[in-house]
Amino acid sequence: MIRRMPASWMIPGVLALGLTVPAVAQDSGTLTEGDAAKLYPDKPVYSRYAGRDFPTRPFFGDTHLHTSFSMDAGAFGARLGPREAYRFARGEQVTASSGQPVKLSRPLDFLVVADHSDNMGFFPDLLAGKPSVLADPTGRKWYDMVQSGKGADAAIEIIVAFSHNKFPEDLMYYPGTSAYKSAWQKTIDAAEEFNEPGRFTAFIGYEWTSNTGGNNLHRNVIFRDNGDKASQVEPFTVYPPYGSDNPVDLWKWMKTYEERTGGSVLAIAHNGNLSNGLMFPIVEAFGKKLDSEYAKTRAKWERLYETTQTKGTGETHPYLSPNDEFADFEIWDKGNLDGSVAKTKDMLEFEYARSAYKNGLKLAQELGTNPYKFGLIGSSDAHTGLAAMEEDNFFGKTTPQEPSPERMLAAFVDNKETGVKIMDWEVGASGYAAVWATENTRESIWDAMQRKETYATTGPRMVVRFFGGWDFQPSDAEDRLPGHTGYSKGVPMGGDLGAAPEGKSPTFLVAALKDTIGANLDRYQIVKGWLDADGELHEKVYDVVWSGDRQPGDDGKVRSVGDTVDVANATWTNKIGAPELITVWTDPDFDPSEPAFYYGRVLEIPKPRWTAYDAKFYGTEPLPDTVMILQDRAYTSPIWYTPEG
Amino acid sequence: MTFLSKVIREPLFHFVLIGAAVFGLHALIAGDDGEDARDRIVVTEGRVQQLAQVFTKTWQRPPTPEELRGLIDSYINEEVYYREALKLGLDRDDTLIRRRMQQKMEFVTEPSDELLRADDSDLQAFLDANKAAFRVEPRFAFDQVFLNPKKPGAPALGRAKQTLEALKATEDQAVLTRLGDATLLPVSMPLSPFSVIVSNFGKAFAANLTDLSENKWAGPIESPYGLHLVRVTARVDGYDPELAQIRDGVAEKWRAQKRDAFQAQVYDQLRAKYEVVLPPAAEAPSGQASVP
Repeated sequence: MIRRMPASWMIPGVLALGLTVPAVAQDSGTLTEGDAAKLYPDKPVYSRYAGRDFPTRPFFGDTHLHTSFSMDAGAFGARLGPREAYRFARGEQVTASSGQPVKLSRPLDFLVVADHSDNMGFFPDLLAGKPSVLADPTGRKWYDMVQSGKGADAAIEIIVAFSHNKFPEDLMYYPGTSAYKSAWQKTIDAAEEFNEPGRFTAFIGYEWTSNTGGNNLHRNVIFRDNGDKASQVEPFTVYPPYGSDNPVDLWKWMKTYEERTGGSVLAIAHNGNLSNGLMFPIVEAFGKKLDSEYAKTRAKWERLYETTQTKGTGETHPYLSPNDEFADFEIWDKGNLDGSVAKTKDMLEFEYARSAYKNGLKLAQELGTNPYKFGLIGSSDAHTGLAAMEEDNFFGKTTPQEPSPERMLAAFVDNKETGVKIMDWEVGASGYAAVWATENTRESIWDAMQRKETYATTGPRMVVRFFGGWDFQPSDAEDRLPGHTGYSKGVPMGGDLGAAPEGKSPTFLVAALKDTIGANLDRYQIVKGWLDADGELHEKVYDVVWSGDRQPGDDGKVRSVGDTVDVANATWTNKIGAPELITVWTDPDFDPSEPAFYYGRVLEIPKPRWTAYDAKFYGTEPLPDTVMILQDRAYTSPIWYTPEG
Repeated sequence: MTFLSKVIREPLFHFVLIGAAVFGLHALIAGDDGEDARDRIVVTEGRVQQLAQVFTKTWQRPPTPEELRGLIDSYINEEVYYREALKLGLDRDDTLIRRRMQQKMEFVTEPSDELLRADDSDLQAFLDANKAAFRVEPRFAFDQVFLNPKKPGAPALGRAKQTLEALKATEDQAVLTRLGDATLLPVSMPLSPFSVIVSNFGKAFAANLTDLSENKWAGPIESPYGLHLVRVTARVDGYDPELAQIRDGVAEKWRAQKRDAFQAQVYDQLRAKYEVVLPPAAEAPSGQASVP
C-alpha cells in the first residue's frame, strides 16, 4: 500500500511522539506503559503523522474454520477444501457444498483454516512432478498421456494400476514419505498459495480436538511462520500413540516446535461452554493440582479465548451475572459437546470468560501467575469451508445447516438418555476476530494476537477502541485522532495499567464505530471484575456511553434503546442508536489495593436474527421459542490492574 | 531426504528393523504352525520407518526403543481391528467411510503439477478472456472532516457549510485537527482501492469521490456515520493490467479452472462406466440416468 502523507500535515503546537507498537512478544505478553515508553523514539518529532506506526484499523478474520479435510465436516457433506475456503474468505463467489452460490458482503482480511489434526489422513500423491517418473517406462507413458492432453485418461489408468497392485514399484513409497502427501501438507500448500501480504493473510493452523468424555477442550493452534517451518512438524493430535488429550502435552508440543524450528505458535482455547466445567479449572486439571508451572505455561501459550462462535457465546451466563441484563445472549448451557452429560449450575463458573478472569485474579495471588490472562476473539467454527457469519448471509455451522426451508426446524444435538437437546435454530451466526495490527501480514496480525490487541464480534464489523491509562481527560474524547491520543497516554486492549499513581483512578478512552453496512450502536459498557481484601470476587457492568439523550436510572443503568425490528419482514431501521460512540470514563469505585480487570462490551441496536431472515425468505414457520431478534455485540480484550508489591 | 538418511544411519534404527523383521518372521512361522490357517500381519521396514517418521515430525526427536515398540504395537492393534472390520463388512453403508473414500478418489484424480503448469500464452489467453475479473480498481487518497448529526446543538448541515468555508479560507493544516467532530474514521485516507473506501465509508460516499476535483475542499458528502467535508489529494484511475504485473494471480485462477475442469472430466469418465438404474418415480433432472 502506498502511504502518502502530504508535507502540509504539520500541526504547530502539538508535540507528537513517533509511536511504535512493539512487535516483540514479551513473556508477560502485555504492553505496559513502561514498556511502551522504551519503544518510543527519544526525540519527539514535530509532525503527529510521521512514523505513525500504531494500528489504525482493525483487521477482521476467522481463526477457526473447518473444511472437508476435517473428518466430521466431510461426513456432514462438506466438499469445499482449504483452497476454496481461502478463496471465499478473500471475497470471491463460490458454490457451497449444498450447491448454492455464496459470497461475503465484503472480503475478510485473514483466515485460519483450522481442521482437526486427528485423522487428517494421507492421500496418494501419484506422479506429482517426480523426476523418477520419467525413468520408469509406465511412468513415462503416463507422463506422455498427460502431455498430449489425455490427463484424465492417465488418471484413470493410474487409479486402476494402484488398485490392482500393478503400480510400478519404483514410483511407490510408503505413507508418510514422498509419494503420499498428508492432508497437513496440502493445508500448508493452500495457505502458502493464498497468502498475499498486505492484502489477505492465509494463516497455517490446525485444531487440536481434546474431547474426552464429550467435554470440549479444543484448542486452535496458529503459526506465525510460513510453510518452510510449519512443514517440519506434524500437528499435535489427541489419540495415542502420537497424541494426548491433556493441554499440558499440547503446550510441550508447542515449546518443542519453537525450540527446534525457531518458529512461533500460539493457541486459542475453544469456547468453553461445552466443556462441562473443565475449561478453566481452579483446583486441578487432569488429576494434577494446579501449580505455578501450570499457570505460567498456560498464560504463555494460550493467548486468546474464543468467546463467541456458532455453538454459542461464552462471555458470561445469567446465572453467574444475575445483575447483567445483557448476559443472556446466545447461551448453550444444556450439556457438553455430544450431550452425553447434562449441565449442572456448578459447572458454569469454570467455562465462561468473565468468571475465568475473576478466578484468574485469585489464582495469580496463589500461584504467582494469572493463568487466565487471555485476550478475546470470536470465530465461526463452521464446518462448511465458509466463514459466512452475517445474520442476513449465514451459511450455517455444518453443510446440512446451509440455507434451506428446513434448517431452523431440526435438532443439532439430541441425546435421548440425558435429555440434552439443542435445536438448529440455537446455532448462532457468530462470529469474527478483530485484530489491531499495523499491517495485513502473518507476522503483524500474529504479533497483535500475541499481545492480545484483539476483540470479539458476534458477526458485525464494528470498529472498537479501548485504551486505559491514568491521565485521560474528558477533552480527549473530542480529539480528532482518538487512536493517537489512546496510544500516547495509555495502553490498548490486552494491556496492563501498571502501578497506580498516588490518588489517581484508572481512566479509559473508549470509542466504537458501527459496521458501515450494519446496525447503529446502543451503548458501550465497561465490565469490571475485582478481588477485595477478604478474598471475595466481584463484578460490575457500567454503562459509559450510549446513544440519544437517555438518562441513567437510580440504579445507574441506562434504559433500553428500543426496537425497530419488523420480524415478519426481517427489517429494521437505524432511526434509533448512534453510528459512533466515544467518551472518557473514570472508575468511580477504584481501590488501589484490589487487583482488577476491565473490558469493553459494545451493543448494537436490536435487529433481525438469521432465523427471521430465513422465515421471511423461505416462509418457514419457526418452532415455538425460536429467538428471532438479537443485539449483536463486541467484546474487547481486558486491561488489567495489579497492585504493586 | 537428509532426515531420512540420518535415520537410516542410526544404530537404533537398525535395531528396530531387526526387531520388526523378527516379529514379522515370528508371525509368519506361527502362522504356518498353527492349526488354523492364520492371516499374517507383516510389519515392513517401510512401515516402521513411517511410524518413526511421524513420531519424529511430531516431537522433533526420534522415538526411544520403547516408544517405537509402542508405535508398532498400536499399529498392529489397528491392523487387527481394521482387517476384522473389513471381514464383517463394517466399511459398508457408513456415511463417514463412504465420503472419505469419495474424498480420497478426488485427491487421487487431482491433476498433476505437470498439467497445472501454464506458459505465458495460456495465461495471456486466460487473461484476455477474463479481463473484467482482473481489472485494477481506481484508487483515491483524501482528507476528511467529520460532522456528527447526533451531536447536540446546531444542526450538522449548517455547521458543515460553515466549516467548509473555514477550510477553503485557510492554508493552515492545523485546522484539520481542530475543525469537525471526533471520530474513529481516519482524518487522512492513504491511496486506497475503491472497495476499501467502500468498506470504510460506505458505497454512496465512495461513489461521490469520483466526481470531486483534486485538492479542493468539497461536500458535505453523506456516509452511514454522518456528514463529511472531503478533499481528494490523489487519484489513480482503474486500468486493465498487463500479464507481467499480475502473473501469480492469473496463474492461480487459471489453475483453479483447470483443476475443476479436470475433475469433472475424470468424474464423467468414471460415471460412464456405470449404468444407473433409478426407480420409476425418481426422474433424472437432465437425462443423466440414460447414460449407459
